Amino acid sequence: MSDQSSERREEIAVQRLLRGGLILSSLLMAVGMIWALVISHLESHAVSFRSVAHYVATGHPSGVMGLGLFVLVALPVARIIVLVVDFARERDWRYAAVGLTVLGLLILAVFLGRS
Amino acid sequence: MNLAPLTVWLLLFSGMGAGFFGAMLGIGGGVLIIPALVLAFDVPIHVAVAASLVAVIATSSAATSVYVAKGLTNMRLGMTLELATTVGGITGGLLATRLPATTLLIVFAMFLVPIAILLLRGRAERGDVVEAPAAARGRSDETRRGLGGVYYNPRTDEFLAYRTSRLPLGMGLSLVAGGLSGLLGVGGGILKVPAMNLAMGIPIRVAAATSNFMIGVTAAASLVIYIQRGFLDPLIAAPVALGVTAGALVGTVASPKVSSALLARIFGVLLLIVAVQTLLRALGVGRV
Repeated sequence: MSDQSSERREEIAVQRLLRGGLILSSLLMAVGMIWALVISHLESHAVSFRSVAHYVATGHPSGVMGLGLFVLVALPVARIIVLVVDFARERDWRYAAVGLTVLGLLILAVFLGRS
Repeated sequence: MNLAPLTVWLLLFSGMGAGFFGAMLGIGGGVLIIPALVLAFDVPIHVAVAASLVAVIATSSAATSVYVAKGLTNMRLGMTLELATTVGGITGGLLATRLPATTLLIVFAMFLVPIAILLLRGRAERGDVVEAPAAARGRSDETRRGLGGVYYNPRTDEFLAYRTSRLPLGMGLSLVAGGLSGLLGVGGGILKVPAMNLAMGIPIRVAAATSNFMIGVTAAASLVIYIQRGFLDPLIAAPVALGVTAGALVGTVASPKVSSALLARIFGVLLLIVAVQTLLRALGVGRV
């Protein structure tokens, strides 16, 4: 049944994305943490979407950890995009629209978060 | 502020402990890691909540990659309820980042009390909650169209079909769960799983898997607000997230093998003490 196999395909796509992303982000966080410990650069400070690029460029361990954290934050977003694309391919417009709305809400959160 | 190397290791191990026991007790790691960060490490509550939200996304992603492969997650239902949890998460995040630390600490302390009572009464134990009503069983084509689904139950070795009911009620409860997540940095599964099981008639295993699926998106919605308000500290969040993920993986594997009745009582008492401690900290007493 094509209906059944399409659901299977969605499940496999989501599983691969989450597993891969989790491994990547854990590696980045672990490398950054060990690096910070080795050079004993253990300054605790906040990072933002903008400042993380600066910290990476200037060779700061918190930049690498921040990158790992942002990969993690991006995972649920990427997961929605994967499912929306898949729902659209199946012409399941209803759930494609539901997914797009959730995505829109996440984008709205970014704008609302700016103080 | 500079941290001692030992502090970084202790953050990692605390995360492991919170993830392990959170998974064993079915309450999630956030409930345990936030008071640990605030009380033991003197981390400001907003920074602790942001670190916990990161850990929540990590555990949700790890659990979902396992559940999805088993066909337990109902992704269409999850996405639909995410409409409500995301709105709740954004509202909670906006509210929390505007609240003074003292107020947020008091709210968190009050949130710990019902969870402690739940643990003391043994309700949060796995396997305690009944499976879906027998009426929901039986294969039908109509389940494919709507929000229902089919899942495989290894215990009875059969495929079970289920339908969902009372979606508006489920959406309402999801909104509240999302709000709690954004406000306090917890996953909110402790509210969502019974809501989906009891209010919507979804089998408990599917409810748990689908709740886990939703938690990542909900936490991401509130976390972006915490990040922009300057509450994400990599040196605290990274060791905690790594620790919680590792601990939760081990806890999930170990949990069916260990009787959690005694553990739940111990943690019930512990959480009551923690609630009092948190309240005292909020009021400026008991600071060492």
